[in-house]
Amino acid sequence: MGETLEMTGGKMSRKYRYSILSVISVICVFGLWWAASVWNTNLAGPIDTAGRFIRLVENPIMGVPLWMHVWASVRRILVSFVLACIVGVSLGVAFGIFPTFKRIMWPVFSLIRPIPPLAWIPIVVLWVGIVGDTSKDIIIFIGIVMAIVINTQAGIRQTDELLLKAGKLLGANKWQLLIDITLPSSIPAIFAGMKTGLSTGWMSLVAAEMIAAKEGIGFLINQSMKNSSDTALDFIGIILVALCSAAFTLLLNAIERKVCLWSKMRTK
Amino acid sequence: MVQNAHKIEVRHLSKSFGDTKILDDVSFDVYENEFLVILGPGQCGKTVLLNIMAGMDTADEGTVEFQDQDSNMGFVFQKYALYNWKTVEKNVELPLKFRGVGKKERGRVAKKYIDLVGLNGFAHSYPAQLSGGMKQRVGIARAYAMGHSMILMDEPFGALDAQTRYQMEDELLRMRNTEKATIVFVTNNIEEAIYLGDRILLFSDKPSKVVQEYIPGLERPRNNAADDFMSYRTMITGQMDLAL
Amino acid sequence: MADQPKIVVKNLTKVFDDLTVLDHVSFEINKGDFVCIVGPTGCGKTTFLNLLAKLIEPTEGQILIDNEPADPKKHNISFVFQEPSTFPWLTVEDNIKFNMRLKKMDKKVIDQRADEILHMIGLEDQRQLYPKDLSASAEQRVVIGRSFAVHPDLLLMDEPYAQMDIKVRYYLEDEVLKLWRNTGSTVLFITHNIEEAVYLSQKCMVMSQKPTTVKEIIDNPLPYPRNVSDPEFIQLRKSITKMIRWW
Repeated sequence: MGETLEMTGGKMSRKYRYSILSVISVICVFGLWWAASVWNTNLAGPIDTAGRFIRLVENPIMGVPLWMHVWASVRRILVSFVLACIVGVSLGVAFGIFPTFKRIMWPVFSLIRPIPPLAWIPIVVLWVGIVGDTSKDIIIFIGIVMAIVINTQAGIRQTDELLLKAGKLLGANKWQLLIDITLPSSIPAIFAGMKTGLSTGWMSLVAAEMIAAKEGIGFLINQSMKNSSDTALDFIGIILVALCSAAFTLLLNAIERKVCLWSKMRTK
Repeated sequence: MVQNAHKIEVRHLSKSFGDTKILDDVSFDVYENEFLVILGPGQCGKTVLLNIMAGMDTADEGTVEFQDQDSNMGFVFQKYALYNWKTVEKNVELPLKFRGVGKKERGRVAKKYIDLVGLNGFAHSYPAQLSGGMKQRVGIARAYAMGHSMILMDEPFGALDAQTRYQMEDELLRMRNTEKATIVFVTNNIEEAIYLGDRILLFSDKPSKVVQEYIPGLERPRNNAADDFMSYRTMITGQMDLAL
Repeated sequence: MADQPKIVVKNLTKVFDDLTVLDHVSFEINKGDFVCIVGPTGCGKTTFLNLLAKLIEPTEGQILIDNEPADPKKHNISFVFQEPSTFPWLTVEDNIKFNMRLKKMDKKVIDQRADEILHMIGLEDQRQLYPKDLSASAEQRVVIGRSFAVHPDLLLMDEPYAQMDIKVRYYLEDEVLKLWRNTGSTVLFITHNIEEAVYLSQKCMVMSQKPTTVKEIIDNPLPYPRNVSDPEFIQLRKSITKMIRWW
């Protein structure tokens, strides 16, 4: 690479400018956090939180190491997510291609959809009991599946008419139209639904764990509430959720890029 | 000009959408291996006519009869209608796949037509990587794969810029000379019609019917600046409806 | 004869990230000229127009109208896009008057000009209709009428007839020439159709592939109205085509 900074001049500095700006904005957030902690001495600042983190690793709550809490949450999300994808995509496709099914079931679905996943907790607990993962998995599942159904259904419905018409002309039967044309063309929408669903999933997970769990990030956050001066623990929980959620999204994006190679391309 | 056997007979075709009559008692023949151009002002129903011929739409009255009942027809769309998630090769193969043709045979046929349209080397590219002219070449290759002796084209070069259009017109003639086929080509461009057509059917504005038939006996390759070409053009321009 | 050119473009350059679209484009246009710009698809013609209309800022170079930097607030710059851009909630008449009202022109003048334009484009009987009741070509004529109504300093047209069939195109080309002669506006008309360019323009600017420069400016001295089958017309068309090695 024989390019010097001078040669590329303006172009190089523009890319650098954007990355530096984003780094600065992150630093600003930390700065605000620190300022808030100084202004309100009850609030833990970045440095206190880091210290609390180290103590947590050395001296785990109830003997359960930190990584096990993280794993517990991640495991729950994973299980619910996979299930929600299977159920959600199937339902979404059904809504998309069977107008009769949609006409019958859509009103029911629309009624259930806005209900916060957490509102289902008493009923779910009654059904499967409070102990164990199942109750939390169900709550998280509900949170994720709604977004997937809606986005999948929308993706199916907005399949380009021209492509379907061309498909029929090419000799495709109904099944081939669905598999070879409608589904591939809906993949970007399905991924969008998965990403939206995931964020709702994390919200439901943390809250569900706060209410009834012995391990998990939500549990940690709950612990911080019991001891009201342990805001540092709360921040640790927050940061952990943010990092895990970001990791999931990055993974999904990478998978999407591979699957939807075609949609990211530009003409030469 | 020697008249070849009828390939398609269109008789008394009429079609309305709601209150608007689009096609009005349209009758004509398509002969084997001819390059037939259907010319008319914009929105006059040429696309509807082609769709009816392809079986995508039904007429209110009238019939379309094919001499060869089992023949398949290829179709080329103005907006390409390629599947962006499939490679060029897979796009061209698709009609064969739907028909249940085996993998090896599909590949062979696809390669033959990809070479024919001059996209050798682009078999594994995706449509998004291709220019408009190249995309339409894929469309033509696919149409050949669909129905290798009968191809319907709906203003296939309408979305291209003028220079690419000229180039594609020459390419199309070359392809047709290499792989003989009956072509029914719809356009609203008089120059293109004269350049390409063995026979031209001029349609009126809606309610549309055939108002004139032309057989430009000009020698190929045709020259759009030559005197006889220009006078043919002037004549047809005078007779085509102005559909403002 | 104008002593000073109306539009002066100096070293116009536009870079998007690391893609140079326009590369030091310079030229001059006199008041009342009808200039056609021809170039391959994707050569930056639209970016070029956007720069002239001040919709985006250049990376380098400047655009001067009447010797001052081009300023949409001070100068009258009208733009016609490829797709009709009528306001669906206004009638044909109100659409035509829109630009004039925006420029706060005198009401009497607005009414009078609107009548003139409607007469020139033959839509007097349709003045109370809404765009949804019009054909695509009629809609486009409303847009063009609207743009000419303000007697703009500069009228930019981006392949406005690309979607029309050939007969309609001939009609619209005659119509735009009529409007141009009546208003004395300076017109920059982009097209990739060389026959159209030769039919309309007094000057033809040929652009290159990206990074785009002005390859050549060709004078078109043919008298109006022009005839596409005229041998001189065909000759000019051939020579411009030869100059453009797009493929």
